[in-house]
Amino acid sequence: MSAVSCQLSVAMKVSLFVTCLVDQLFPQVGLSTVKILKKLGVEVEFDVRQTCCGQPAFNTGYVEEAARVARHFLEVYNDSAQIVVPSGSCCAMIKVFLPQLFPEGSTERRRAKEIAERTLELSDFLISVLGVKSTGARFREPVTYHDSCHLLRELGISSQPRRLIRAVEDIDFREMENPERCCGFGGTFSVKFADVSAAIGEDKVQCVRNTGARYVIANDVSCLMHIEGLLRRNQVPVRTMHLAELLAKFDD
Amino acid sequence: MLEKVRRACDQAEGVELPGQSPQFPQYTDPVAKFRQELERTGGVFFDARQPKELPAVLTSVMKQSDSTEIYWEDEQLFQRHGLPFTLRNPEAFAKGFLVYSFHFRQEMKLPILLNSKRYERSELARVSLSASSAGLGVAETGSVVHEVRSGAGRLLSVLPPAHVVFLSEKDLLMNHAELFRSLPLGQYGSALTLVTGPSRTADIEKTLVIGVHGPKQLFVILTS
Amino acid sequence: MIRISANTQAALADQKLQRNLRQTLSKTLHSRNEAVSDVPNWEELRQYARDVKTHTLSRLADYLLELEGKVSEQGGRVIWAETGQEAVQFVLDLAHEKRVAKIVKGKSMLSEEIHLNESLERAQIEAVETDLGEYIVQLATEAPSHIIAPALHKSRGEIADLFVAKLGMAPSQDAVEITKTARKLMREHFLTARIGITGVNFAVAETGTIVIVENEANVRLSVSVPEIHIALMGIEKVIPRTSDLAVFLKLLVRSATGQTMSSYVNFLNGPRRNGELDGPREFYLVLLDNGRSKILADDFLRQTLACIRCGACLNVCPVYQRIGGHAYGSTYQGPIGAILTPQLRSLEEAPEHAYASSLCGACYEVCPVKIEIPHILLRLREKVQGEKNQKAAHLPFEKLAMQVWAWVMCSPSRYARLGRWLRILQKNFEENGKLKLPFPPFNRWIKHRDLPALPARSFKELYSSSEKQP
Ligand code: SF4
Repeated sequence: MSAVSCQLSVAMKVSLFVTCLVDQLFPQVGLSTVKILKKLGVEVEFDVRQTCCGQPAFNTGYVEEAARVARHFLEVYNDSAQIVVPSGSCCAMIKVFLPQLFPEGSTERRRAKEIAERTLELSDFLISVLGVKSTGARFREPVTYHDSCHLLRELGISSQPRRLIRAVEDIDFREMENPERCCGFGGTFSVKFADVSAAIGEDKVQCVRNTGARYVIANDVSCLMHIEGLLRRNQVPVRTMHLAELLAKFDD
Repeated sequence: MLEKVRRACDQAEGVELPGQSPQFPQYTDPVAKFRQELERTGGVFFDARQPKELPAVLTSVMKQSDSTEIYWEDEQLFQRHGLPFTLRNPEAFAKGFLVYSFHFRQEMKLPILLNSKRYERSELARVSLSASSAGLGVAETGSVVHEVRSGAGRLLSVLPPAHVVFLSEKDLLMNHAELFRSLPLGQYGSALTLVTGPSRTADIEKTLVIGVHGPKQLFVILTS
Repeated sequence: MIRISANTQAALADQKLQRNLRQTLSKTLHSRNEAVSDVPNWEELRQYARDVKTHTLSRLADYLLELEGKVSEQGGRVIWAETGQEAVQFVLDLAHEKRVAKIVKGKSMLSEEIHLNESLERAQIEAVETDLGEYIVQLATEAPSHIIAPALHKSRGEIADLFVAKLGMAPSQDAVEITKTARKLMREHFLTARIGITGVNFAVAETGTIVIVENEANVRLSVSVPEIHIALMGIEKVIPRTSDLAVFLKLLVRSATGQTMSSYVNFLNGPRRNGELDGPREFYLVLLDNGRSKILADDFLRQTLACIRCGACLNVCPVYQRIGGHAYGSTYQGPIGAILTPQLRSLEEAPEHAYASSLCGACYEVCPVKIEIPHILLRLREKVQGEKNQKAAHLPFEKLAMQVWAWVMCSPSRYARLGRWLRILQKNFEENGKLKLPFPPFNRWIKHRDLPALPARSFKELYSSSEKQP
């Protein structure tokens, strides 16, 4: 029997938005995402014109600049298939904030809304659309999971990643204390209030350490990057891993 | 200034005032719930729905509060709760005096009115136990309502270190939705207080300390 | 101008503060969560309360008029104060007219907002804070660090030392002893003060009732003994109906302290009436605007005024948990302070408040009236930048950087080119796969975190080459 408990009956096509950070800094996350989707029989479309969703500018208050980048995003994804994003915060940017960047009643707003409606975060897509029970991954390590804030609170996604993690063969999943508490990253916040951001992150590191896990999983490379640095500085022998990387731990 | 406020919300999209209030909990045994909640706040509950229990209950209240006298609200208290006490000085009520002192006589097993005192703040500040009648009680939170009416004051229930409240079972409401549907705000007097347990603070390291500026002890006696 | 960023280091380095915050906030959060999980229809209550607030704010002028009418009918007087200064002046004038030397005060954030105590002191009128926490900060000549628990930043030991030093208390670390000392001392004040000043939690328009929630009974005494009661309220505190109180009180108390109900909820309808034996002979209700009508005028930001000051957003905020209240440099702290302060005062005066948040959204999650704090923060950030750029003589560096960034991100080819350049440039800064950038803002950032070097090939490159393979 296949480890994948769900095979698609209908051909499904998705358009992948990997996000700029994944593209430039963490390509393995994008590759893992593609690997998972393909294994599940999903046809992956990747538009090379994609860049960024505009989040960095938007979160810092530069709405004009964010709108400019968003306009480019709209252009790229205008006639796309179902969009899948391996990032909670970028997905939230697209689903929640992108339409707000354009005036009520404008064509852009309408288009942004349409795009928002057909955009889903990866784990949500796997569970809600594909009905996946397991990706067939196998990982023999103790892991813990951190809820990235935008994923959890803007998108309301918390059970989906956990279900997928628990379904990984041989995994030893350990919930940390307060998994839903912010890691302190906050994008522009980690620049403007670097010390406070780090202090908040230390609490997260403590919670991670207490689980005895060897890996901390999350669904946002930015949070992971922040946590990783703090883990290292606190000499905590735990590594970070993006959810997609974990779920792609199967032989192709 | 009002004009400024009016202009500011002139264009505001109005939302209708919601009509249907959300559900509040119901209890099959409201007395038990009342008791549980009251005790959770550090209050002490007595069931005196059987009038013959009253002397023993009062004995206990006085012992626990280390008091030899009780300062009563007014004569309505006796009538409302059918207290079987002998009034030694009934004409005092007619004079608009408020606070009456009872001496507790062990051998008689009943507190008996001895004398009446003028309503005086300094007197109130000195006494160790006062008594009043609650207008209403709420099972949901173990709360009682103090009403200030003509002939009663605000201070009786707050100055002494211990206070005992008589609550009639028929005045016990289920929950706060019922309470605020029937609370006669401003109708009888200038002040109402919803009291839930003794006075407390958690201002020092979130450590609970009972008895700050108000009573340290709160007793509720349920009558029928 | 308030600079939060200038205060954070000291706060983070203050071990005592860190310990106090940790201990007290975790306790409060825990009780709050328990109290909320006890209510199956919590979400329904939140929505209901929010709807009532939204409705009320959209017709605020009408409800205030109704309130004024009812209060006057009952023999109270309503004072409309457009600014804090006007409110303060009213209190000063009244105190002078009545030759009052001492005032007892119930905890009121509004009084802090208008700096009433300072003015009273200058006028040589003794103002005694009667709430224990507020009294502690008054003794220490500090500002409250939490809208619900003013002395939250202080440990029992620090408070005990303060009481020993300032009040001559016999040395003791016992919270009960400290409280006893305060009770004894405060009794004197209650019995001798001639004016009581309190805040207001809710004001019911249809009955003209002022509602004040408390635990200690200091408000009960402040509104019972002195001959004059002055209640200070922001104009946003009015609600239409008595029946709504059931929902609001349930939300407020559980969110604030995790109790099922506070020890005392005072419902006050004007001064004492004929035949009543005590209570103030005069009752004044001060309706304060002080910037609120400005907030009211914005369709989106208006919801800021729905706040019932429960303090839950402070307790749950990871930033507040680490820097405490004083670092905000304002009367209101934490998430609500971050959105309220720049609006009540000005963005220029408080340009950093909107940025002092990781936008994690925990505040919205707990807010009993569903104020979209993170989204308001974003809107305020937008306004901060807008104002800054308008006023700046040159294009600010950050703006320029953003413009360049957007220019790059709008074009796939520029984006690709930048990626390639960075890969070449980074060679000068790379160390074990990490970038050591010695200039701001990166140097501050990498002090605690690592910025990984860009891998040799981007996803786009890797992906297109893998697609080309059979
Ligand atoms: S914003 Fe919401 S959570 Fe914060 S104090 Fe106000 S009502 Fe409470």
